[in-house]
Amino acid sequence: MKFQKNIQLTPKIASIIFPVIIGLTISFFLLIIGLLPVNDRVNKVALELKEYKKKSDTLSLILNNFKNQKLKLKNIYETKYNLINIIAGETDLKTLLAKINTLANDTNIKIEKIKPIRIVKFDQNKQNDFNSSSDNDTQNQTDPLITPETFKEISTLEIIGDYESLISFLKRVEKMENIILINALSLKSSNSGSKDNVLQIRLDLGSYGRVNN
Amino acid sequence: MAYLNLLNSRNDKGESSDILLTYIKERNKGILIGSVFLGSTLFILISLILKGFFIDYQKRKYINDVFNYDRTVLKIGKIKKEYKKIDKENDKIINSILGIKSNLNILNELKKIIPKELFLNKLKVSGNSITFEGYVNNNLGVKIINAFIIEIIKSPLFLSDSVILKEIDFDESNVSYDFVIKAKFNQNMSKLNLDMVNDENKEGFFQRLLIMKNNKMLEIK
Repeated sequence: MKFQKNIQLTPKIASIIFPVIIGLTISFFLLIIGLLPVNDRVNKVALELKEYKKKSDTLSLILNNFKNQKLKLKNIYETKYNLINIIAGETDLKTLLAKINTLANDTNIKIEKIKPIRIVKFDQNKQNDFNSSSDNDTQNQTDPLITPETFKEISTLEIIGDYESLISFLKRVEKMENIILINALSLKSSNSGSKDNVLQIRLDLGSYGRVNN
Repeated sequence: MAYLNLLNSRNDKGESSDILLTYIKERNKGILIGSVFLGSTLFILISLILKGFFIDYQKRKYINDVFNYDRTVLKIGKIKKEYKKIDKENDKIINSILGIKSNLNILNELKKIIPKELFLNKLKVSGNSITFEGYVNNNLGVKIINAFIIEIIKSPLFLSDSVILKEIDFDESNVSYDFVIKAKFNQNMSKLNLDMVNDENKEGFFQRLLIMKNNKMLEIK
């Protein structure tokens, strides 16, 4: 058996090569079966360790970030609370009519008629949102000032007074703790031509109150 | 033993041949080289396994930190989501409050722009539109009504393009010019209100906006 011209497989060479080949073959199989998978596994664990170390090193930063986020959330909830206060105030909407009556008396306005129309709560408002999005109904648009903490009471108010009194009345109404929106305003001169021009005024009011828990 | 005797006797006779020699040394050499390969492989394998155990042990030391880290990251994610939701709701509320039309402001503005000789019989504000009905007891009635229209156009409260004179009628019995004017409100009421909130003499609704401004609620706008 010849490998090359000058090299012959003599019993002497075979005595060396044969155990070497056996050793190499077993090593090769060990490499395939054991070493490579173990190496892969060790590399994977090493990567995990690297990630763990990184996480451990940045833990204090993350905890600080968590504290900051909590503080930010607290602040935004405070802003929300303040906004709810700006919308609905602290007082009960049940006393609204009494307050409007007092304001009217103080500003020489005579109340002719008050007609509560309806109360819109958050769920109904959401329903309106759903309807308007499906029907493109602009009349039924959702009111962002109606939140789970607030509701809106819609009523009609008919009053009599002169222009200056009306301005004073509106000034006080707009100053009230609850937001009172005037959705529609209609002024009509009751005795045109006279100097003391008395106006018949119709207001569509939307007043916001706080939901009692 | 018979083979050894035969080999020795033939060696003694000078009949040495490769096939008849023993190669124990060479075989041992081969076994040694093969063992080195095998041993090296085994050594590397065992080292790797030990390294794996060591890394795993090290990993376990950080397990509490990692658990804490992952839990905190999850919590931060939740907080951020909640923050975004509340922030969006707050923005909606702030924009909605900013977009409110102050009827007091409208009446005060009208008080400023209505000429002295012009009287309003009827004023109707409904949603985004406004209707003026009135009269002028003056020979220069049309001129005065025209001046009023120009003032409405100039006012920031109304959309200049939307101001329409519906009609002017001369009433012979009262010697007056009756008119109907329609207009639409400026849709960007938020900007207008923000400009006005700086005017400290403004009253009513603007005082509410001033409170919001002082509480830094309008800073994001």
